[in-house]
Amino acid sequence: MLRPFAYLKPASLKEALGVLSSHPGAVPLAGGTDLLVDIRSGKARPSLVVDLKGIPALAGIQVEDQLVSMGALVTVTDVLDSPVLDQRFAALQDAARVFGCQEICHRATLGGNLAHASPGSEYGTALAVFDARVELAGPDGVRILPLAEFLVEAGKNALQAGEILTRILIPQPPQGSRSAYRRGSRVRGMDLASFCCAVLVENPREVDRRRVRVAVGAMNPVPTRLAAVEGLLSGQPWNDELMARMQAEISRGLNPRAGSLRATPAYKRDCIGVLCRRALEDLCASGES
Amino acid sequence: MQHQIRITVNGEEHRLTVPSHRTLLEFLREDLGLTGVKEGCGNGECGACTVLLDGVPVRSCLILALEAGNCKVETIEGLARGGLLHPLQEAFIEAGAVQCGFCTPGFIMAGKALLDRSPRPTPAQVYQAFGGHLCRCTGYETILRAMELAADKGA
Repeated sequence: MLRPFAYLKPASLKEALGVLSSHPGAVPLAGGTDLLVDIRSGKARPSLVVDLKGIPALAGIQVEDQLVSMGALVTVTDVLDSPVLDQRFAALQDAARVFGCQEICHRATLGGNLAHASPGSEYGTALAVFDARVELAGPDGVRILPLAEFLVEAGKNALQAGEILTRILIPQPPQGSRSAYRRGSRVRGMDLASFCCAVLVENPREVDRRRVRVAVGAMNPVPTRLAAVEGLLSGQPWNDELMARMQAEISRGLNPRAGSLRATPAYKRDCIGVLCRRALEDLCASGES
Repeated sequence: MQHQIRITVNGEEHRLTVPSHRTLLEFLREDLGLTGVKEGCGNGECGACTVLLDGVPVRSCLILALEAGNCKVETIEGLARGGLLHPLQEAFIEAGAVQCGFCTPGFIMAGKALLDRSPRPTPAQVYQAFGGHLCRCTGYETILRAMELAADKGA
């Protein structure tokens, strides 16, 4: 039996925000795959659960001219099955494939995954290479934050009282870009990442115009873009020597905490460089000298 | 807080009053007496509580009963018709895929959802469908064989 709480299912964003700002013990419910676990463990003790699933403004993947807008309630399965996400967004679908078992993927949402702010979250890491922003709505209106500012600390996001994450905004990557998400975990199926990375390469086959974005997760308290590595690789031919330097640079620059259940700091540091290198080389496989 | 819920379970409509904090798992077992659905871990990790919600396999321990309002739920009890087992149930028995039986309803519901979508699933698809289901008895081989048998039976 869960500790008792009340339940409401608003039909509009306005109604939901009204309830959330007027009830201090209210929490939003999306897929429930984190919240119900937290309620059961006692980590969350809401007096009121506000089910967001009746709010149309939070649903759907919309492709506009410059932007892809994903509702906070888009599920992991929605991402995997989406006909509108082309190959540039492969990292988001890679993440969906390893997110967890299918039953979890059918309910878990992108908004919930981001809001939970786990250091190795699939979508915190994958969306980092898309320069994603998040739209937050609250009693004082709407504001938009870069994802890196939304993910504040391990387990902590930038939502203020009465705010919810409504949409994830992804600037369209250039045509011909390719992306990937990779992770190491103890088992396939149901595990969090021991270490993970996302990469996005613009113009993968044209050395001069090639631009690289790299993010790592489960290495720092929040998913992190690696600017030094991006600078090293962009516009350069990728030979063994450069890639080895990149690997060393990644491993040197990260200092994961001790005490993680899943992997020791040394193991993470050793593996993350290999993982990034493989992800990048796979993306440019037809490529390079 | 008590709410009226209208929910269809195994083809039968129910209208009941439930508290907000009742999970779908508790509702099915305790309010409807459908004890084929099991609580293995209570955290969505083991698969024993799997039921179909509008045809989609889900973890009933992580869903509130109220979230399933106006939905169609299918549990293991709904598979057999008029005393005749569903071909998937027959296949599990023939393949020796049932030992203690605790994980079996969850596996069968997930297996049914897969076969409904892909009548001849590849091994990779079966693995993916069962990735979040734990069995401590069988070692999984007989379960995989049961799925092949079920596909052959046109389950």
